[in-house]
Amino acid sequence: MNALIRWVVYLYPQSWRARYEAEFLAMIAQYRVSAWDVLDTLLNVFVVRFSSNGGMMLSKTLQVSRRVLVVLFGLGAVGLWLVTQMTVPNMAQVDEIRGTFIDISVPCCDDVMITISTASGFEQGYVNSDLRKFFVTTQV
Amino acid sequence: MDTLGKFADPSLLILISLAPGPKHGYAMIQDIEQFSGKRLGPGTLYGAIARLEADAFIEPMASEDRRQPYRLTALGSKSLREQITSLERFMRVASARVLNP
Repeated sequence: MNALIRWVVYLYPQSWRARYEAEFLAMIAQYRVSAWDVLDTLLNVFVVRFSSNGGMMLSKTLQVSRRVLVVLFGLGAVGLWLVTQMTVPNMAQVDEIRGTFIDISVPCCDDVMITISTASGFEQGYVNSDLRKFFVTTQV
Repeated sequence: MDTLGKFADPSLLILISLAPGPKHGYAMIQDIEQFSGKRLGPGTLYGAIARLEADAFIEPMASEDRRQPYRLTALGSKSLREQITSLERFMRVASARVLNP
């Protein structure tokens, strides 16, 4: 985590780094940095970069935005995970059903198109999002 | 444990931490956690330090190593007293209305 937070410090504006970087790094070298410390620093990078007065003043509005950012970050992570779970088929299951997975594309919202190799050749078709059925459209 | 709610403003906590004497960043984190139960993250700490320094409430001192100690300025000390007086007045009214109605 200490290496990660050092990387986050590079995201601060140049003026902030020139003034505070050395002492900030000296401070975090004194203890074991947690994931929360990294997130806390990352949020402060946003606050400094988007604050109005030379990156040093923090308005009450931005203090509220800081909490909103944490909530949005969490919701975004959960949302991304849900979308992934709903749209990307489990290729191990596809392998068991038909053959060896070769390629995947997403031509529409609900289904994904995959290409697999079978004992007799290639098959291309759609797997619906709940992986119940494989609809063959092309056989080679 | 964060029982101070809106009174756990990082700037106020830093001013209180520096009231007895100068401290560097990690000493402030430890001291604040000890007297308030609130652990400031490094980004929050340095965000508040930057604001307090810009407002001339604290100032850096000469350091023998890379750790940078800070101390209260006269303006910072005056501001801290005013904030504490304001909080005391607030608590007296709240106590009279809520605890001893």
